[in-house]
Amino acid sequence: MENKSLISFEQGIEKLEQVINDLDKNNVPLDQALQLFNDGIGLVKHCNGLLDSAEEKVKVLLEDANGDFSTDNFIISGEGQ
Amino acid sequence: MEEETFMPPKVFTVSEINSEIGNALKKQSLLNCWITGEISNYKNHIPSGHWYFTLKDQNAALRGVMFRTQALNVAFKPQNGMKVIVRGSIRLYQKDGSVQIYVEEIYPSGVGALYLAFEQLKQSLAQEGLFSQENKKPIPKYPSRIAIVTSATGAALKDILHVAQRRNPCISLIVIPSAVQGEVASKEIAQGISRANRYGNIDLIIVGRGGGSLEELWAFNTEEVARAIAGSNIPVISAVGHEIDYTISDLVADLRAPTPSAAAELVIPILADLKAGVRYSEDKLHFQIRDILERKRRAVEELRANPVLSRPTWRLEQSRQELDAVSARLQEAITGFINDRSGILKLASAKLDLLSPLQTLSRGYSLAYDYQGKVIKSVGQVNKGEELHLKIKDGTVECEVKSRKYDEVK
Repeated sequence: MENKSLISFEQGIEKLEQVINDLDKNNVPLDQALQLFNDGIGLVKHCNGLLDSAEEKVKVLLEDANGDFSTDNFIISGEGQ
Repeated sequence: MEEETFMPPKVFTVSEINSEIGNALKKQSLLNCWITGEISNYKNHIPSGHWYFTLKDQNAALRGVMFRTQALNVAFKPQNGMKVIVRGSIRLYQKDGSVQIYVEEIYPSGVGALYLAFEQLKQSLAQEGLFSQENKKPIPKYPSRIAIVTSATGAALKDILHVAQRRNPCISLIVIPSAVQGEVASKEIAQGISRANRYGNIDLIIVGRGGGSLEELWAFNTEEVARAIAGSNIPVISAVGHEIDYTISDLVADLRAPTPSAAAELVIPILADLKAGVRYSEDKLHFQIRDILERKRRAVEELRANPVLSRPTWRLEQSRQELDAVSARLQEAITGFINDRSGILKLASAKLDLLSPLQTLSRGYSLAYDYQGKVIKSVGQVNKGEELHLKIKDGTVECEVKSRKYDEVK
């Protein structure tokens, strides 16, 4: 399995579905089944981690004159359109 | 002579001159032109359904007519005093010599100009393929970072944040503030979209604003915004609360939502659903591995119950037993074969005896063979000193040729 930190939630779910499909195939050799199960559980942890850790607040994206980006916490203010 | 050079002025009939005027009016700029003015003397002629009116401004007036077939397509009711924009052709009405505009399209002024621009831009962008379905990017099912290009103080942003908070507070929202109405709006919206693309690490962009009049929404009908959306590498959702059915940005975007909060509902997955989905997968994995292990264990049990494994020498014993059985059958078979055959053999050899030269020998004759085993049938076959074999009834005699002699022919 490649470096997990690079796997997005969407990719994680896709891979998880693939693992489940593979495990559903008849006559998976035992060592392969155990490996798949391990991978699957790893992906479950990874996806749960992504859901739990993404506790980022709303940010506002700012760009300075040099085209450099910065983000700041966004505070809702004002009424209107 | 003077009379010969005198050219009387050309005198036209009224029909002729009107025809001349009619021809003079056949210029491209008059056959298809846009005119703005105020409606007066409006008359919806019954029963023909044709509209007659005069277009005027402070200093001038022009008669106009709109035939029923075109008038049917007009969405509003013209009234005296209303400012309008019309498109049509200028032609002479020969019957009373008046120059008229034959109107094909009519719009309320102000809004009318915007409609016109909208229709023209829509047509040219459609021709370029900017709205085509195959250019639409798929919307990610589980976006985790969503950029919102809209006014930082607008109702649209509040609505989106509110829906996002309710559905999935864990999703990262990146606000890219821009004006959404007024002169700078289209430029800022386009910049915001390009900013999101340059910033990267964004799964999709919502661009929009709350409802408003056509003029207020105008930025979303500009070519600048349309091109920014079309050029985005990140999927764009257009969410403009609007009066008319579609803005240009709705048509170019990868997905159109009727309002900003609808956009948030469409693209933000509910956190609890996501968690439930992962939990379901986890349960399924545990079930699968238990099932697989159980099946393998059963297979092992079945093998263990098999005599091969329960009595390792069983196979050998069985083989030995099989061997015994086979060899017994072999013996029986060969004995039977020999018994069957011996009768036949006796009969056959009796028959052979009758034909055999050996039978003749028993009567006192003998056969002579040369050293090669050939029967000697002529004196010429043998030479002096050669060994011969004589086959007699009860044995063989070896002899040597001393001499040879042909019988005398009688």
